[in-house]
Amino acid sequence: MSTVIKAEKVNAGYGRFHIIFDVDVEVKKGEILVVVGPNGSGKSTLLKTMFGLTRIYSGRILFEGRDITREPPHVRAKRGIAYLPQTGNIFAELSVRENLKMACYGLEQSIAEERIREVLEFFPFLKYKLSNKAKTLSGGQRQLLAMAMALVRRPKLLMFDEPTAGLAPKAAKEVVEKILWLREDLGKTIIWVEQNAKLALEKGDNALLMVSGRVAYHGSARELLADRELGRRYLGVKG
Amino acid sequence: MPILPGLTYTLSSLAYAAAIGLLSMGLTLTYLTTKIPNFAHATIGMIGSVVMLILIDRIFYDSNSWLIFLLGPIAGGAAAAAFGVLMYRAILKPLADRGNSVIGLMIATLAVDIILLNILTLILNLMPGEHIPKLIGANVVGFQPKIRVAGIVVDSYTIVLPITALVLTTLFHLFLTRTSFGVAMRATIENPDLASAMGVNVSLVYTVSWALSGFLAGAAGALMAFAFKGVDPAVSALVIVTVFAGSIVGGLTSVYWGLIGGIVVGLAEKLGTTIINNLYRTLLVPGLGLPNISLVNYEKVMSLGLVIMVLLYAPQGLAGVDWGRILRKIKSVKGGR
Repeated sequence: MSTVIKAEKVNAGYGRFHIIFDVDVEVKKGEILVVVGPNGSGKSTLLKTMFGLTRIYSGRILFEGRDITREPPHVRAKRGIAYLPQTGNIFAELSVRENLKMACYGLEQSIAEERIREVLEFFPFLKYKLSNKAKTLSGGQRQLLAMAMALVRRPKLLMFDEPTAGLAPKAAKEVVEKILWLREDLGKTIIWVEQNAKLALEKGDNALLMVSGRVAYHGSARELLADRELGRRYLGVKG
Repeated sequence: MPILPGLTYTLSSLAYAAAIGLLSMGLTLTYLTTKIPNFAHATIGMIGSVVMLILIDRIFYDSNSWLIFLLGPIAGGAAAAAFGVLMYRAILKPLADRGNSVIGLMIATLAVDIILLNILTLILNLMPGEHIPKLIGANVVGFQPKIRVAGIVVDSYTIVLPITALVLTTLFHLFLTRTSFGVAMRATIENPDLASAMGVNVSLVYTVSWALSGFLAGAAGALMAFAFKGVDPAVSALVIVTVFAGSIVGGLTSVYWGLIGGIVVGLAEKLGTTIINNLYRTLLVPGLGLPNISLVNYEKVMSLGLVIMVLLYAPQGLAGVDWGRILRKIKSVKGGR
């Protein structure tokens, strides 16, 4: 299978605050890579770095073989990378319709309208909320709107930063089901940062364990889940 | 002495308030997008006044044409917009990219303000007037058509300025809600990182916001030229106080509330001060034997007093007030009667 995104010896952070060190990671087409690790281990920073929201001190990032290390986020978005941050992943003050239009930013109007129609079939509840301000949606609905917004651009790679954080169990289950559906039915490649390690490792193909900004493990998600020592020390997974 | 001011004064106060509203709206816009408090904003508006003065001297010196009210704001607005873009791209953006704090950027706008003020003064001092002998300090109030309102002849700018404010606000609202770039601007104000993730060129949005802010200031400044006793860029040092007061009263969270805050402060400065002055001189001077002085020159006390009141009792400005709750209370009180 072809490589979608690859980080080579990446060092990155915010200004002078060096957060991730010599990170190597590779994600193949159609794969779900789960990124886990203790709080402050650099999981979210890794996603932001892949999307161009941090300062990269050294190393490089390749997307479909092209070096995108110095490209700004809006160019990466146009290349087919979607990033869904943990919070602030929708525009709360805009209506649902405006949020979806924003997601189509730069597309021709006829194409945008077609994409919005298409995505509304995947997320039918949004049809009844189009005129509502996004801030009136529930937490789970917001995550699904964020997903819908990412999908209208037909991205090749979706990067989720803790999509189930703060959600009620039922809403969290629905969000996880949608993530799996994205891979199974639409063939998307996914990087999924998750605090609930057990849940994500059960669903993912491969896993990346981050500890203190470094990669402590990169391999099969099931094997990591089965590794009692790593699970106990870093993930709070009881053996 | 009547307590309420006459029609002419009320109209000129409304015009002043509308101009301050436009300026406060522009100041709020660039604060919302780039988080920079622009102390040069009123002087950027003075570019519009200077352009209007030059247009009158070279083209409209003997026509009293209504066209001046169309060409002046457009030309003044365009010149001010160009300066706003230049200021942002050449000075403020490079400073922000190098990690300068808001304080550093604010000081930079103060420096630009003083430099621009001197440049405008120099232009007016050096430029020979063709039909106005001395451009600096020139009073252009006579170069406008007169109209009658309720049987009284008034300066037409007092009617044109509020209408211009209404038209520009409507156009700006349509831009923000009906165009994809306008929606992108609102989105960028709320969450620039996410807007960038959606493919929005945030840097371009910021630049356009400085252009729009400059245009609003220049258009207001062009029409304000008629309100000043003489076109002198140094007036901006006083105007900027009122503009900031308007933005703060509005709450610095919404361009529309910036406009409303500016109008409220502008009216407080002109109408409010005059009414208080009339009350003082009619009731307190004879009643309590207080000194018979005019209070109308203390108008900045009104605007800055309003700012202090707002900061104390409604820190998020008028935008943060729960108007729905207030309206419900008023209705319930009325219903209870």
